[in-house]
Amino acid sequence: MGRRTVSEWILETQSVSKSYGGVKAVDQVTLRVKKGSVTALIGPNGSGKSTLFNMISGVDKPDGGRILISEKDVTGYPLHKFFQMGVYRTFQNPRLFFGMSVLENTLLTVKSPGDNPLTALLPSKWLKHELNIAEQAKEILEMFRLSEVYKNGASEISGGQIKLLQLAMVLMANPRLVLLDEPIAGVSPHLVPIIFNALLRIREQGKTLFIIEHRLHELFEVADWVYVMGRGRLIASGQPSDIIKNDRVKEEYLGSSIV
Amino acid sequence: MGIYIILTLSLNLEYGYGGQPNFGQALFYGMGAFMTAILTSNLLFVFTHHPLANICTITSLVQRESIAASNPVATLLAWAISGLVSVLVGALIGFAASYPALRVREEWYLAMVLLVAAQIFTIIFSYDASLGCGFDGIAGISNPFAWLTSTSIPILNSNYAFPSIYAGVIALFAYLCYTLTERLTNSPFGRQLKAVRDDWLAASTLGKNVNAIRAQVMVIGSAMASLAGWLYVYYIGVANTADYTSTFTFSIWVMMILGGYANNRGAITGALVLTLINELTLVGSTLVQTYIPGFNPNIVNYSKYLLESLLLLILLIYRPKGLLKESRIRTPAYTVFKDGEKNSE
Repeated sequence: MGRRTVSEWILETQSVSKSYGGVKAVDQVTLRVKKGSVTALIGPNGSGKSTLFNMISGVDKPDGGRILISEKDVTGYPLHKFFQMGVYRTFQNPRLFFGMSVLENTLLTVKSPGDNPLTALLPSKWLKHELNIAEQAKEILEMFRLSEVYKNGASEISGGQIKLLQLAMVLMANPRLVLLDEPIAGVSPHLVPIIFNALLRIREQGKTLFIIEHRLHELFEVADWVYVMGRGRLIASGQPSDIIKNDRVKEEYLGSSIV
Repeated sequence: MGIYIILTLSLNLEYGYGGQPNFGQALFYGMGAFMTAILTSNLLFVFTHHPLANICTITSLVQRESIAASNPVATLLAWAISGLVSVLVGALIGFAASYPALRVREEWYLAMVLLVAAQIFTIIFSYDASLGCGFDGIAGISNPFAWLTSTSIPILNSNYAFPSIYAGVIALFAYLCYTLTERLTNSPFGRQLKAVRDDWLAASTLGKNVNAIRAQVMVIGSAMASLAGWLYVYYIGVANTADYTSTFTFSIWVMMILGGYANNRGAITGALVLTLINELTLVGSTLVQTYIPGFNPNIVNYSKYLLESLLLLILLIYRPKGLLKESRIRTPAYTVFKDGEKNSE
């Protein structure tokens, strides 16, 4: 994948590393994610995928290397700045606000003029905005069949609905780069097409999707490009059709004794 | 009563909504109280062109009481200024306290830091007489409406009028604090606050500046606690460290847990129930003293601790979330959905 024009890449990691107590969780990973693409990040458990995501989303600081978002070096930025740069990240174990309602969770993804305690006291300053984003939230929640449960607490809805709510929040937040950590793991089969439709819809809006997922069959149907990690390192990259045939990838996934 | 309500509302804002366990409520409350007493004692002299003197002596105590009983302008001015300054100082200390809060990711470390800070505060103010007259405290802070007795206005110059007026003023401030917290919490700010409480990391990945939000809530909460301290000193007439102990902090905690956290009405309910228990046992002990000779009235008086703990235990078993359950962030956003429900019907 040759480098054509600079602006084509929304995300670049340059020799990014992270160790935990002497174990190299991520070791010198350099990769690029193309704007508007669906890029997959696969690898066996413990290969460092989530750690890499943590660094790209600002949750962890890398020990070495650089992270560029839209060509801007964001290494060492405080966590909340990553969101402001247009990065949205979901977690493998969904991290929602379980003491709050579905609607509140959705609205939280949008910056409001009433976020400031002083303007919060003057409803006239944020009321209009609040109603606008509520209209928008209603549309999005309807799309994910969540509008019936808008009042329910996030802890009162099903696991599948939680996964859908995560995606509703992505749409609501309107980010440029979406990092999805296992969006269909543990989801009942009938929800999988709904989730993938939502992903395609998010892509149609010009957003970039970078996805960690173990269900490769479904993932490879939508992915444009695949990165494979094994034991903290990047071991392969290519189009889904090439990756399926790659022996090294099979070996990492199944163990050398079988191959 | 109103003072307890303000303190419980303040703690509820910090912990119930913001997840900041403030074990140092007595610090902010006491700071407001001592700031008020020191300022009032000096300001009364300044306004009446008296030379500044040691505020701890009996002479100056008598002097400031006589000023408060006769000079409404100086008294009310000192009252207002000390209130303003107390609130500002409270906010400032709150901001300073939020500093360790930003450093510790485990919020219970903050609880320890504030508990210790409150403890240090009472120790210093008890043992260093140059700050707040030591164990005796700063006495002689008269009711800001005591001068009414020296006027010739009927009814208002009675000995019952001025305490009632001041009680009304406290109630008014309690009401204002309630409106303030209701507005603050039922807004996008309140939503953020709860989000930070539930999962600060997730809130942060949604672009919320967790440190700033934590600082904001500590500033508002401690300003409110200092406000309560200011009101209390003028009510009780003395700033004494014995009133600002950790035990006191925990009774505010009991009020909050009792009423139900993240619910402003719950906070008020908790404050009311606990104050009621305190008052009833006090009245009970007086009655026992009068009518049952030989029976130790303290048994009735101290039974409040027993009752409080019993109530708390029963509540934790049957209603672990308090008398009133956590309220939703009520913003007009919900109306958008309600309209839809009506149309589809």
